[in-house]
Amino acid sequence: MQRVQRNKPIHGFTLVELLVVIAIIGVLVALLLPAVQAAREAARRAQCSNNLHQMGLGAQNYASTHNSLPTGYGRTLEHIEENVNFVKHGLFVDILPYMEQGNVYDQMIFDYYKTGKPYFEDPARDSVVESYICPSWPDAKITLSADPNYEYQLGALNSYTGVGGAVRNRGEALIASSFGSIPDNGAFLMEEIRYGGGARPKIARIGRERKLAEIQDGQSNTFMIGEFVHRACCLGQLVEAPPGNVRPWYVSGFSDGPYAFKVLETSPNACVVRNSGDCVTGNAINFNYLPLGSFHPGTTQFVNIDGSVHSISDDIDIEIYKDLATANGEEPVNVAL
Amino acid sequence: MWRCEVRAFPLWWIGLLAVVVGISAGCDQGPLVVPVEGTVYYNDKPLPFGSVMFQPQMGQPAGARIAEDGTFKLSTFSEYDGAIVGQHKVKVSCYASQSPELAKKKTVGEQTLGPSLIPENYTYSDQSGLTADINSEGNEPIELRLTGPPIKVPR
Repeated sequence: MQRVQRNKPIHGFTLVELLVVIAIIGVLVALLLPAVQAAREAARRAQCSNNLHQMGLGAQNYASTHNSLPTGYGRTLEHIEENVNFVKHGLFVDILPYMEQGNVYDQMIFDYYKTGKPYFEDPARDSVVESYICPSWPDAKITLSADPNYEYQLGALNSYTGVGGAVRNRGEALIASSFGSIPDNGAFLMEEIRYGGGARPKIARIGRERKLAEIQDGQSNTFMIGEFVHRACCLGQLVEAPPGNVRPWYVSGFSDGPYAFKVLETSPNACVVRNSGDCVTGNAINFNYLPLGSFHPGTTQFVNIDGSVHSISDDIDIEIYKDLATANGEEPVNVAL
Repeated sequence: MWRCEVRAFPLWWIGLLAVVVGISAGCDQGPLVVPVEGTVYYNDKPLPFGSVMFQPQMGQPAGARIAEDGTFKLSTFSEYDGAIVGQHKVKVSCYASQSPELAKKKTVGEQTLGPSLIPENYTYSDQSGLTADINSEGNEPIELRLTGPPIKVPR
């Protein structure tokens, strides 16, 4: 047998050299990865802010035609007299034709109760309106299954909500709702009417359009729409499966509780639950007062009535936050946004 | 001599690194939270159920369930850690759905808390008239005194 004699040693890496190179690459990746993730989130946030801008323009287009903002929750006396619980007309539905989504709007069946079909059999239900879902939303954009009696969760989601003012102590009227009374000082509001006549007229709570002339604090000083992604949260941990309290865009409200707008009562991104039993903090937050928030670190974005988009820190002074929520609070708003 | 300096350098460097890491770890701890407890009285008797919420001027509110004897112990970021130091506006909730009898009842569909069993203004931080100043050097138990018509739990 012939053996190959090696006179020259073969040049190569020793094990230690290889390990050192791998370690250096590992450290570099570890340093860069968070920066890459942050850049991706910044891009998503920019897209999210653009969505708000679209909605702001849609609402301004609507306002230039109607001289008022769209009604937040389009519940009418007819719905009450017909015992209709789920109402589709409202802020996010009614601005669709004004943001080039008229084809989705035209598919919708608003008077479903006259056809005998349930509200959730709507051709537009599963149509994702890209402007209504923030790219930072981490879960499915459409809810495809729900238990009986929970069909209101079905459909393409809306990760934004209108702003229905704030409960101050400045003489605003509170319109009763079984999900928390709604003040009449926001961009979106309800009103109380009496009907039926006679000695004991009945009371109905219906949606009301905010006239542009009523926005006394100025369109640039009043929130119109903000991000809303709330799900039950206990001691800093999300404890509820998606979509939590986020609802599909095609339904604007249930009974006397609007889906399309919220009253600002706690700080943005506050970690709260709806039922005392779900967390040691015991917060019992009414559906209408759930905090706005987002999946961006530390900020939540809002579009004001004038169409300008602002990033609001989670640590905003709660007084300023509530002042910004009111359209006619007559407070001296003097905030550099 | 030269050799000695070279050896001393890494030690000094490690010391500096430890200080920097220590400071940055300290900064990440967020706002100062101190333990807070108290009692809610309604018409001079302990309120037997419901919840309290302390909204600081900025940031995460603290909350607690009210025990049968009217007492509560606040939590913000971990169990019973208390509340963020500073001025708080306080609200007290006592909804029908929070009563022990009705809490066990299963309901379907969109959940409502039911009617407020105490005057509604106590459930809003700007209308309750209740405030608390949480001090970093320990706090006396907080007494919240509410008045209103007698509580009737609907069936």
